[in-house]
Formats: sequence, C-alpha cells, structure tokens
Amino acid sequence: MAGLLLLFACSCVKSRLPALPASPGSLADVFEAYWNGMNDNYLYWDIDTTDWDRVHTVYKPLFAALNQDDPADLRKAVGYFRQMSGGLIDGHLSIQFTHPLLKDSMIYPALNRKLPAPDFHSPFPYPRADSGYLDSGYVSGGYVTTDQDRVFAMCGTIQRRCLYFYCDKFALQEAFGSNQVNGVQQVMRYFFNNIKTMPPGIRSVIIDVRNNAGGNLVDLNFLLGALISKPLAFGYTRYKGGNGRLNYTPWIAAYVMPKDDARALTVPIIVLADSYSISMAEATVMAVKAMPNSYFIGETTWGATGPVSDGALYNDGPFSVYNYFSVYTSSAEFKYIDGRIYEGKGFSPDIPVPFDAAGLLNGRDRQLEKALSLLQ
Amino acid sequence: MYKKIFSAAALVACLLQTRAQLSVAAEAGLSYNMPDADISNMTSARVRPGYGYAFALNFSKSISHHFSLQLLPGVQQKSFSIRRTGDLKGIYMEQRNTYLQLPLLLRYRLNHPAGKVYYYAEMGGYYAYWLAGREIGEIPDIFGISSRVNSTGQRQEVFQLEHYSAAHHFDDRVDRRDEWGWTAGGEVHYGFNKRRELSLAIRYYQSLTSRQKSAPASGSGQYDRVWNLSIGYIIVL
Repeated sequence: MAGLLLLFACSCVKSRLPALPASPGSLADVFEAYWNGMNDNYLYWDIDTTDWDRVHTVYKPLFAALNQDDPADLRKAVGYFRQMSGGLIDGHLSIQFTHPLLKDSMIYPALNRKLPAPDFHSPFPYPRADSGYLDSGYVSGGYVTTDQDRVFAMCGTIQRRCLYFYCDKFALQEAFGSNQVNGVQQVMRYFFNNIKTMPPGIRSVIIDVRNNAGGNLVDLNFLLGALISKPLAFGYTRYKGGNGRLNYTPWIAAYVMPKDDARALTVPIIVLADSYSISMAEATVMAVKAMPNSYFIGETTWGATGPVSDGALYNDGPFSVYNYFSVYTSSAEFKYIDGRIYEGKGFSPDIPVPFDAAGLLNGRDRQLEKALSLLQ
Repeated sequence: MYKKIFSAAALVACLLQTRAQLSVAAEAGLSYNMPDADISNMTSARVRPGYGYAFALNFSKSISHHFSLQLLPGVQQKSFSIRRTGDLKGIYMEQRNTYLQLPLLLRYRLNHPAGKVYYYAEMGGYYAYWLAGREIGEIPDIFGISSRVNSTGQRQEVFQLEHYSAAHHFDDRVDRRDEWGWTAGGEVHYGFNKRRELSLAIRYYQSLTSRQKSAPASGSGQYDRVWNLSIGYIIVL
C-alpha cells in the first residue's frame, strides 16, 4: 500500500460528467446524456448482458418523439428509462427524479426484479424478536445521522455464551464520534469492551446485519477491525480507468485493517444476513466469511456488492442528468476473494435458513436459533 | 503477428538485394510521448507526457545521389499518465506501452559529402504493433477509508492511496493493437571513415489510428504523438 493519505470533505459530491447545458433542448438530449453517462460511469459492462448499443438504437427514436413540455410525455419518458435500465445488474442502481413534475418517480431495477420472486418478503425489524433472546443487561439505542438517517444498534449476550451484535445501518463510527450522547455509542462501547476482555464463557460472536441497508464504508474497519490483528484480505476492487465502457484499472486487493490495539478473535464468528442485507452489510458478511472459523447463516444477500463513493473521486459512480434526475450507481466493481463477482446475484449463506415471518411475529427467530445451535 | 514479422523481414531482404549503397545501423534512445487523449469526462485531471526507451536497427539504401530509403524495425515505448489535480492530487494512472515498430522513410541528404558531417531530412509512414503494456498508478482504496473531525468540527474522510502496477491485459473489445501513422525527422551523421559513422536522429511519430477502438465501447480516442531522440552507430556495407 502507498503511504500517502488523501483528505476529502464529505460534502464534495458532485457530478463528474462533462458540463451539460443548464437545461436540455429536448427529451432526446436527456436520453443521450443518460445513455452516455452510463457508458462512462456504469461499472458492470464487462459482465452485464444488456446490449447498450441496441438500447440506443431502440430508444433514441422513441425519445425523439416526446415533448418535454407535455406532462404525459414526461411520464412516458420515465417508463422508457425504466424499461431500458431494467436489466442492468448493479444492485445499487437507482434513478431519483428531480424534475419538478417527476419528483415522485424513482427507478430501482434490482427491487423490480425481486418483487415477483417466490421468496420475496418485506423487511422485518429483527430486534423485536431478538431482544427476547438476550440476557438481561443488554444495551440498545439509536442515532440520527448528519444525513437524517436513523440507526439502531443492539448488543448483549445470549445464554452468557454468545456475544450478539446487531445494527440496521452503518453509521457506527459517526455515532461513536458524535459530540451528542446517543444510544449507539453505548452499544459500541459494550461491544468493544466485551471483544477486548472476552468474558469467560463466551464461545462465539454473532454479527447480525439482517435488514441492514448499508451505509458508511468507514464502518468496515471500525467494526471488524476490532476482531483481527493483521490485515484481512477479503476481495478486490477495480474502477474505471478513463471514459468508455470497458476501460478499467487493474484489480486492487481489498483489506479490512485491524485497529491498533485489536487482538484476533479466538472464538467462532457467525454472521446473520438476509435478502435486505445490502451494500456495506454485504461487505461485512463477505469480510467475516474471509475470517477463519466463520459461518454465514440466513438468506442470500441483496446483491449490491460494489461500494459507492464520492462522484468526483473516481471515473465512475453516481452522476446527474440535467435537472431531470440523479443516478446512483457503484463506484467500484467488487470481486470476492474466491474470484467471483456477486453483483446482482447476492452472496449465499453457508447454512440457508428461510425467512419465517410467522415465527418472528411470535418472537421466534429460526435464523438466530440456527446460529445458537452451532454452539451446542 | 507472425505474418507481420515476416512482411517486415521481406521488406528488409528486398532492400538488401538492391545494388545501391547499403548501410546498417543500430540506434538507441529516448521517446517522449504527448498523447492526444480525451479525458473530458474526468474532473480535475490532466494528461501528462511520458518518457520511454527506443531502439531499432536502421537499414538504409541509397536510391539516388541525395535520396535513400530507410527501414527501422525496432521497439519503442509510448508512455503517458493521467494525473488528478487540486484536491485529488496524488491520484494518477500511468500507462507504459511497448510497440514493435516498423517505419519506412524517404531520406534526403541536405549537403554534399565533402566533409565529415552530413545532414539529412526524412519523412515517411510507420506501422506499429502494441506488444505489451503496464499500468501503474495510485488510487484511493474505497475500503481503505477512515473518518475524523478536523479542527473546525467538520467531518473529513481520509482515503488510503493504493499503489498498483500490473501488466495490461489486452481486450479485443477495447484495444487496437495495430497502429498506423506518419513520421518525420532529421539526422546528423559524423563519419569516422568511409565505413563507420555516428548518427544523432530526432524523429516525430504521429499515430493516425487510436489505441482504443471506436466509441462508445472504449471511450474516445487516444492518439500517440511521440518524439524520439536516438544515437546510432552505422556501418556502410
């Protein structure tokens, strides 16, 4: 690794595409800007089966026939954008419309593909069921991020032999370092203290990232860095090396870095994840799985494994199209340490345990119970 | 590839078989590439020239009192880098591309061979084959990130810059390995005797074909523009 550090203010997100005129001349211009933006910024052209050139051939005349001053045509344009993007595999890909007449519109191809699946289910707030498994003295609490997202975390022991940690979003370090006293700080202190001292009788650690939509990448080192004593290689990333569809940098090894005072975990670690474990939650699952003596229980994850960062930092990732919409897409293509890319597919568990809504509503968590049964 | 090498060898053989005066030289020197590369989609970025090496054999055959034909089979490195500027300073991507190159030039001697120093002007065309490439750079590791609050209370993210150096893997969908272009330059020769000369040559190579295949699969074009300065040792046969 290079010894140099680079500093960025968090607020420097900006469009990275060539400067566009303030407003497009027509909806055909909007189409061209999106189509070209995806050429340059979308990362998965090497494995995506969408024929983007054919998309241009088919949709260019359709957009050319639309009038951007006609609200009905604007709605039709949203439909076209939805169709032409429907097969793109990036699990992060979403289009949020900012045009005044389209602000209620959003395109999320990964969700649209999942909705008809037989095992599709709604997100479930697991702590409702799982707090009942925790020994007395467990801690839980929340934090509202600077982006106004709510984070909930919970930590405790189960039967005094398992240390259990749950969070529904990753802004843990932000919460921990916040000047405002918050519940997540207490949870993290409890977790780190127990990891450091490892009370006698604790025979495993469970990290639960079910129904976790991801969040700050910085939390990967913050959380898992406490469980390792040397850098943990868990995959590779690559970026766009310039403009164009297939212009990539070489693959670069991805590591979780240990904290200064961390010791390697000596007990088994189990990670729980479900089909709503997304992005950073999936990175956490895959990093845990790269650790020795680790197990993954639950459902296949969402399939948004390519991390997202500042649009100006890389030659890819998020971008905006006029005042019509912003496109949220991966900034790095991620390949797991086994050489496979799980984007659009999700990472599969070692021990699959299907979602059980009825059980959870009655306080029974089959996935957690399966994890506990491994310790018998 | 082998067909191209055979064609080059056949061209050399043709030159050797003609009756006019023939000279053979070995040249080595430096290349300086200032590519014409479109980076319009990148903010805070600048294309920077790159240095490399070059060496070639120079087969020269006189075809009249002043004119001669030159064939220079050799190897030339064509390097460049894209460096980010401003807040992103430190991020860069360098490409070192090595070409097998075959220029064919018409050379004109500018002075009479009365003394020991001769001057030449030359121009022609070339074909080059992209033999190998290396990509070197530093890029922010998206997972190598930490966060801290600065003295003004603003949260900042600190990225670890990751160094990489890897062989370029050719992709037929992107890379155009054949390059055609024109070249022009000048030479100064110093004659030790009738059969031994030392040369100093400066030549410019302008590619007419992009290293990347047509947009959009590979983005916009990248055209090499190379200056080459070399010295050579000539044996007149």
